Amino acid sequence: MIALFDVTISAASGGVPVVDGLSLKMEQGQWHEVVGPAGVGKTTLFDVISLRRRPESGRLVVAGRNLERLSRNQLAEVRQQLGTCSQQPMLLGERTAVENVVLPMVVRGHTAGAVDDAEETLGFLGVMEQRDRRVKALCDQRKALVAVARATVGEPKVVIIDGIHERLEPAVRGVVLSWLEKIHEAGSTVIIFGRRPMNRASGSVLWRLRDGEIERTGEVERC
Amino acid sequence: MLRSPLASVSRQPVAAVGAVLMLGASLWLLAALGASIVQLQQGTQSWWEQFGPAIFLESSVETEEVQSLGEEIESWSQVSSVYVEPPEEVADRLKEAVGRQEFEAMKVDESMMPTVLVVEPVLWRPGEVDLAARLEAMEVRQSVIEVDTPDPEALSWLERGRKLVVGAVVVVLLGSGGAAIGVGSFLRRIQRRQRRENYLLEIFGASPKRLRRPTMVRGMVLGAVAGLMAGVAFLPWAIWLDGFAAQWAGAEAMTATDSALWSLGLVAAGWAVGTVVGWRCGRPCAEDSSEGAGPSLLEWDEGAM
Repeated sequence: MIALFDVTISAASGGVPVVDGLSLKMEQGQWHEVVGPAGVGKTTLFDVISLRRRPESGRLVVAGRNLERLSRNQLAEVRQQLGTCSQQPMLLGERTAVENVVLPMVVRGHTAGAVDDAEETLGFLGVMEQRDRRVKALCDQRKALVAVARATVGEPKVVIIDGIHERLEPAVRGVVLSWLEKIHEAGSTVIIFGRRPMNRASGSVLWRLRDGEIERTGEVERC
Repeated sequence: MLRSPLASVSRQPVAAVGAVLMLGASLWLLAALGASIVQLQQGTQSWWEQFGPAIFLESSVETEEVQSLGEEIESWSQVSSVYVEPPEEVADRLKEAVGRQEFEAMKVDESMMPTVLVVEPVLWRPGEVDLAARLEAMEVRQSVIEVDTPDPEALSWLERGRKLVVGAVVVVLLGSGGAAIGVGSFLRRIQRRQRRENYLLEIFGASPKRLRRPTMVRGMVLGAVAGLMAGVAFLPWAIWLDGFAAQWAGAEAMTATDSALWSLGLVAAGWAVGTVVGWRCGRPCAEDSSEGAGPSLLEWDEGAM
């Protein structure tokens, strides 16, 4: 479960808060989509939920853990339960596609079968042929697919995607969303940030972010 | 973590060899100096036993006065202990030195022998010349027949030798510190080249300990190799020192076991230094966020929310 209680987040460059006093609860095992126009703060919210930065104030619960008093080791354990892919994902250019994809598995200590899982993911996403190619030699579309594979390998508890699917060609986007549905059906919570809803999964929850507020479909969250 | 931590070391062979040689040389110097100091100490002790100061007292001196004088000298900071040699022991020593026949021909008996206060100074403490001067001043005491002190020139050489040893220890320690810094700088350079990987590892949940591990492993291996080199290079020095020690009256020769222990100690010391340096340098720092590595996640302090 992911929950924010009265959270204030400023832009990375500082200044006026992007979201101020925001509260939300995302239940475990559901498909969540956070949509909003460009510049509304989706990526900032993504950074906080994916534990890349902390909010200026408020309480944050991720994967069922209250992060207020976690030690660095405990924080690392929570991060191991997440699979995240930012809009501009950082990949290791000198390493091969499969080496990039197994990275989360290595961190989680699931080295046995890591390569098999990575190959299955790459195969589903249609980049298995690029398995042993250095990532820096791949085109942008394939790099994006490698990043999605890395975020989803090993079926993490929570998968958080920040708009990378919107850069993909329609056919490729369809493959990615199908893959996300597959891991969602396996039990992972999927959270997708984007400009438009995908409406792919039944029972999905739609969140609209605008003017520093977030609204759940059929329900308004008070700030 | 995706590859062996040593893979990145092997990609910079010249720098790696340089770091290992630097650390190995400093470890060797430390061990060579340490072993030499041990031998020097033994030799110095033996020399003091042979040529150390002694105060000869009248045979008629009362026991209480002898004891009082002994305690007075023992209270000096440069004095470790004072041994009272009674006339019987002095006579036995004379018999040993000249032979029983010669001793009997001298027609002396134990009652004619003096009581001797044998002064044992604190080794390596400054002030040998001053101690000799203070002891010589005891000659004015009524009960004192004579004071025997080492040659002043020998004492001043001892003093110079001690200063040289202290200077050498300081220089070698500074050099060792510099070598450790050199190894650390090499490890840090490797770690910074991997800052993108480290950032990603942190994003996906690598703990601080896990992030440090590759650098620590590199340091451990480099340190152990340096220690092994120093340990092997120490053996010829030990052989040379063995011969040199024979020139010091009473200095014990270094046994094969001693040499082996020193060498093993060097391997252990190299491993320990490398491990500590590797652990220390494996700590991520704010600089790691430069040049596309991503913002540092270290700002996320526990309890800061």
